[in-house]
Amino acid sequence: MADQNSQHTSFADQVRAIPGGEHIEDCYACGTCVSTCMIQQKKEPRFNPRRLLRMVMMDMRQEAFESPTTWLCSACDLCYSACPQEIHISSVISAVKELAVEAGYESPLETVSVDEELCSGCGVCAMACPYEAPRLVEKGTNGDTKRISEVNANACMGCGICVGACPMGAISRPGVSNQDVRAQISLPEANGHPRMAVFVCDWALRVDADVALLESYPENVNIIHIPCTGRIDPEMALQALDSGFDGVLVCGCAVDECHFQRGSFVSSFKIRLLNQVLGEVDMELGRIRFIKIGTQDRGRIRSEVDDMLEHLSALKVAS
Amino acid sequence: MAGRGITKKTATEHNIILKRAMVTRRYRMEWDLERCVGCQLGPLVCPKDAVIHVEGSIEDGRLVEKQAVDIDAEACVFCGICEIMCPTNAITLKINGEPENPMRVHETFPELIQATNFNQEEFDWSRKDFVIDNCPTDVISFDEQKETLVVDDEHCIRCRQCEVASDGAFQVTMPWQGKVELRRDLCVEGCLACADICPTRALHIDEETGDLVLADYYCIKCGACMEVCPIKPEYKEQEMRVESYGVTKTVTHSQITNREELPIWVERWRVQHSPVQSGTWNEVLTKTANDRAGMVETDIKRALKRRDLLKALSGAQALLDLEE
Amino acid sequence: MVDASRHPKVDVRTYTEVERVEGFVGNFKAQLREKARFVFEDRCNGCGDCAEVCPIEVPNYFELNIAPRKAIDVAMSQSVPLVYNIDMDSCIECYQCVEACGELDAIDFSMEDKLVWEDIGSIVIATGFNHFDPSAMTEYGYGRFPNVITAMEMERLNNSAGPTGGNLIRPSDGKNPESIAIINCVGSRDKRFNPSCSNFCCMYAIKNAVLLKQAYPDMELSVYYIDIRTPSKGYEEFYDRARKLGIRFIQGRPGLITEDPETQNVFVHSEDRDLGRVTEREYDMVMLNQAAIPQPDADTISSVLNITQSPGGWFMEYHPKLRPLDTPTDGIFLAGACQGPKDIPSSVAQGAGAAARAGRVVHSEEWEIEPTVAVVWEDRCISAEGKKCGVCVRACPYGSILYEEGKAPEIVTAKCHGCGGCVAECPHNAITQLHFTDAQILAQIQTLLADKPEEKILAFRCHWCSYGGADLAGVSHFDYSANERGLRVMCSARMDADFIYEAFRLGAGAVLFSGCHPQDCHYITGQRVGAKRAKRMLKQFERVGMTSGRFRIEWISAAEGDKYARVVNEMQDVLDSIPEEELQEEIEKLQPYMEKRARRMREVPQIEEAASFAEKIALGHGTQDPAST
Repeated sequence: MADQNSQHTSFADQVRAIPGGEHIEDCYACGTCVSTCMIQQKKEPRFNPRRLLRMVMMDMRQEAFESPTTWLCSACDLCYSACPQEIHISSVISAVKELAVEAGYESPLETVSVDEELCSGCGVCAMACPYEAPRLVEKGTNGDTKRISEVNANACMGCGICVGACPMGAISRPGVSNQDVRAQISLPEANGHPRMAVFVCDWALRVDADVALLESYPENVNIIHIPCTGRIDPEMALQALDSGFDGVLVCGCAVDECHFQRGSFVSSFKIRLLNQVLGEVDMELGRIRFIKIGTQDRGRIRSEVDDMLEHLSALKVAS
Repeated sequence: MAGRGITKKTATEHNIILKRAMVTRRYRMEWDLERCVGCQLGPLVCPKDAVIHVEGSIEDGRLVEKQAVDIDAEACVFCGICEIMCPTNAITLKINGEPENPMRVHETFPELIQATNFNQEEFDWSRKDFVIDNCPTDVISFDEQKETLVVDDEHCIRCRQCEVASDGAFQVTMPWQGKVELRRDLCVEGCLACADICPTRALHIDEETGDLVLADYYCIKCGACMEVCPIKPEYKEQEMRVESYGVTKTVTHSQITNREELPIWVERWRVQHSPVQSGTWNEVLTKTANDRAGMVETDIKRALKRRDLLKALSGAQALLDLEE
Repeated sequence: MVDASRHPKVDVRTYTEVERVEGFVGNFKAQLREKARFVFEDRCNGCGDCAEVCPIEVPNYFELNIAPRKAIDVAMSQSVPLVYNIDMDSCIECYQCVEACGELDAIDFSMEDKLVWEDIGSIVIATGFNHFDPSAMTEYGYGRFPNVITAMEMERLNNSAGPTGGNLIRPSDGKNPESIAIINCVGSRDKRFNPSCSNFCCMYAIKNAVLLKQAYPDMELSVYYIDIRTPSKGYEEFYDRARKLGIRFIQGRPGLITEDPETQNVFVHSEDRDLGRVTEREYDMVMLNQAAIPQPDADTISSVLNITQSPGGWFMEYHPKLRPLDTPTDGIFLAGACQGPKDIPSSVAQGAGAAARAGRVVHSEEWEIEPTVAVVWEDRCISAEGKKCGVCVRACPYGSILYEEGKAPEIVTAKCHGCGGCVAECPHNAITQLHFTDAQILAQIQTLLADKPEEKILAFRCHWCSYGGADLAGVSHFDYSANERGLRVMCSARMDADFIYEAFRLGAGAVLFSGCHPQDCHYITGQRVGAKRAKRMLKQFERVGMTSGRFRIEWISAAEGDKYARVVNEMQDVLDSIPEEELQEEIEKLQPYMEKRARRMREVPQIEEAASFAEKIALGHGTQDPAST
C-alpha cells in the first residue's frame, strides 16, 4: 500500500489508507446512495456522495475538499444500508474530510460555541454529541484553571443535541438557541378547537408533500422547526402546556434512521421519562407525545396529527 | 414468493384476524374474541386442527381471564366449517370483501336448522323492556318504524331465554339436541367459573343463595362449561372408522373415561341440519356428537341408498306395492 | 413437452424425485420416489369436474400465488400429463371429488409414494433456476405495498392464460395501470444478496416493456437501470426498438419506494444520473426485475449426485471454457440455467450439447478413462488384516473408494480420475498410482539431486496448473534461477510428505510445493488434501529450525508464469542469503530428522524392480477390471 506521507501517493491512495476508505473501487456509480440521501433533497442540491467517490477515484483533490458533500454528511448511514456494494460511504466521506482538515480547510457549517462563564464542565455535551465535537479541556485564566467544554468546529454538525442536553444553557449557536426556538412557539387564538404545538425536525418528513401537508393545518396547529428533535428539552413541552397549549406533538425520525444518529432516540427517551414522571403525579393524560416517522412512511403524518387532535378534543370534552 | 398468498395473522385481545391475499381472491377471517366462549366445538370441528383452545384463569372461584381460542395460521385452509358450527356466531369469513363461505357455495356442508320467530299478536307488550334486557347477547331490539321487536338473526345464539321471557311469543328452534347435567357436590368448593363463561345463562348464579344453578332449558350444548371446569376430563384415544363414497378413513376419537368425577357434563346427541352428502360432515358429526350420532347418520344414509338401489333394480312399482 | 410424452422412447415421469444415485458412468442405478397424486394416472382424463366441486382453495405456485387452485387440481391446463393431484395438506376430505369423478373412479385416497430403482446410463441435470424474493429488500416495499410486484407476477397478470385472462390489473384496486416503472437488478449485482449479474434480465425487462407498450400504447413505461446489457445477436437492435416505442430508460438505481396510503400509488425515488438530480416519480405499479438464483434443492442434488457447486450455488462445470457441459463426475452432464443463469437460446444450445454428450455414453461399448489410476496393494493394506483405517476413502474427491471393515478398500476404477491423493495419504504405502509410482518419482528425485544438491531448488509442480505456469514462464522469457529442478505429478494431492523429507534428506537446498489455487483444482478437492499436508510439514520444519523460505508452499495457476519466475527467484535469494557453511551445517543437522520421517521410503521398491512391480499390478493383483462390473 502506498505510503501516506509520500508526495507521490495519489489522492485515491491516501483515502484508501484511512480505515473505511478501502473499498471505493467497488463503487459502480449506480446512484442508490444519492437517491436515499436526504441532504441532497432538502438542503443542498450539490450534495452527491457518488460524485465525491468519483472525485476521489479520479484524484480530484481540490474539488473533493471544496465539495459540500465532504462537510455536510452527518453519517446517518441511510445510504449504507441501501448500497448494493456494501460500501460504508460515510467513512469514505469522513476520510476525505480528515484529509481536508489536514490540508487546512474548514467546515462551512454554523457550529456551536461554549459560553465559558456558564459552562460547569459536567461533560454532558460530550456524552450527547454523536460526533465527539465537544471535549473537556483545562482552560486557565490568570492562574485559575477550570475544566470546560471546547468544541472542534470541524467535527460539529450543528444539530443542537448538546444544546438540548446542556443543563446550564452554556452551549449554543444562532438558529437553535433557546430564544430562537421560543420565537417559533406562538399560542394561537382560542376558537374551540384544540391548540397543539408540533415540534418537527428537518428530516423526519422525507416527502415534500408531507411537509406541505403539515403546514396546511389551520392556525390551531403551531409548527416549530428544529434541526433535530435531540434539541428538545422536556421543559419546552411543559412550558408550552403551561402557556395554554392543549397538547405537544414531537415528530422525529425512526430511531435507526435519525439524521444525526442519536437525536431521535435521546429525545423520545426524554419524553418517555417526562410522561412517566407526570404519570407518578397522576397528570399523564397523553398530552405530550413523541412519534417516529420512518423514511418510507409517506402520508402517515396526517393520521398521526389527526389522531392527536382527536385525542385532545376528547380530553377537552371530558374536562 | 413470501408475502403473496401467505396467511398473515393479527391477534389482539378483541379479535384474531387471518388474511390470505392473492390478487384475484382475498380471504379474510375474523374471530370475535368478545363473542367467543372457548367452547368444545371449535377445536373439534376444524379438519386441520387449526383451532386451539386457550385456557382461561380462575381466581377465588371466579373466571378472571376468559378462555378463548387461538388459530394456527399455517394450518388454516379457510374452509369455513368453524363459521357454520360456531354456537355464538363469533366467526366471519369474507372473500373479496363480501361474506362468502366455500362450504356453503359448494354444498359440502349442511346448514344447521335454527330459527327465532316472533309472534307479535301473542306478545304481552308490557314485557317489552324485560325481554330486550334479558337477552344474553343483546340481539333483540325495538324497531321504531316496523313497530315490532326484531332479532339480529346473524348473532342470535338460540338460547330460548326470549321464549321463556315472552311466555311463548318468541319461538326458538335450537340446532343441537342433547343433555346437560350438573353435580354440584363434585365441584371445587365455591367455584363459579362455568357461570361466568356460559353464553346463555343456563348456568348462572342464583340471586338469593349466591350459588350455582343450572337451567337446562337454555343450554345450547356448546360445552364451554366443561372446558372451563377445573376438574379436567381424562381421555382415552380411540380409532373410529368413518366411511363415505367407498372411502374409509380412520379418525382418532377421544373418549372421556372419568365421567363420574366431572361436575358438569354435556352430551350432544343430534343436530338438525339440511340434507347433505359430505365426508367432512360425517367426520364432524362423529367428533362433536356422541359416537352413535355419526354412525346413525351413516347408517341412515346407507339405508337410503339401499332403498334407492332396490327401487332402481326391481322397479318402482314393486317397491310401492311392498310399502302398501 | 407433449411431443416428449408421446415419443415411444421417452419415458416422462412427473411428480417424481430422485432419491439416490449409485454407480459410475454407464452403470448408474437411480432410486426414484414417485409421489402419490391420489389420482390414477391411467384413469384421469383431465376433465376437471373434481376441481369444480372442491371447496378448498390453495395459492397456486404456478400463478406465483396470484390466484388459487383447488385442493384437487392441476397446476396449469397445459400440464403434461394432464392428471390432477390432491394437495393433502389442504384437503379436508369431504370426498365431493370422488362423487364428481363418478364412474371414472380415478381418485384414491389411500395412495402412497412408490420407490423404484432404475438402471441409468448417463444423467443430464436440467433443474433450472429460481427467482430471488424481494421481500428481503425492505426499501422496495414488496409484500407491504400491494402495487409493487415482481417480473414473474407481471408475466402471469399479462398472460391471456393467466388468472386475470390477460387483463393487467393493479392488485390494490383491480384497475388497469396507466404508468409502470420497471426496476432492474433487484437482488443482482448486490453484495447483500447475489453479487453476480443474472445474465438475461436486461433483455427480459426490455421484452416486458415492449409487450406492455404494444398492448397498451398509451401506457407510460420507465425502466430504471444501472447498465443495460444486450450482448447477443439482435439484442442491441431490440433495445433501440424499445426506445423508439417511447419506453423511457433512466440510468439510476432507485434507493427507495414509498406509497401514498390513500391511492396506493407508488413513488420511485432515484437519482437520474443523466440529469444529475434526484427524482421522485409517481407510478400506478412497479415491477421488480428479480435476480436468478439457484433452486433451493441444489444442495440436495449436489449430495445425491456427488457433484459440486461454483460460488453462488450453481452446479460446477468441468472447465468453464473448454468443457462447460460436463461435470467433473463422468456421465453426469449439465444443461441450462442450473449451471449458471443464461437465456433461452443459450439454454437450448447447451441442452442439445448435453444430450449429445449423454448419448455418447449410452452408445459406447468402452469408456476412456485417465490412465493414471490408483491401485490397492492388498498385501500391505492393514485394513485387510482387520485393523481400522479408511484414510484413503476420505482423500478421494469422487467417492470412488468403497470401504468395508475387515477388507482392503476397493477402488472403482471407472470413477478414479487419477489425482493420486489416496496414494499419498496412505500411511502404509499400500496404494500406488499407475505411471506415477513412488519408485518412479523417487528415481527422479534422486537423479535431480545427484550433483550439488545444496544448490538446487527442487520444485514439485502439479500437472494442470503449476507445471503449465512454469512452462509459460519459460515461453514468455521470464528469467528465473537456473538452479531450479522441476518434477511433475498430476495433483498437489499426490505430493507425498515422504518425497519432501527424502529430498531434504538427500541435501536439497530448497523445496517448492506448488499446485492450483483452491477453487481451480482439476480434481475438485485434491488441492485441499495436498495443502493440509504441506502446511503440516511447514510447521514441523519451523519447529526444527529450518531457515524460513527453504520450504515454500505456493498456489500458481497455468496463467501465472510471472509469479512462478518470481517465486523461484525469491527462493534463490533465500539460498544466497545463507552462507555456504551455515547451509551445510543446517542440512547435516536436520538429516537425522528427515531420515527418521522418510523411513517409509525405504519400503518402496527400487527403480530396478519397478518394471516387475508394474507387471505385478497390471496382471490383476488388486486391479479392478471395469468391464467386469
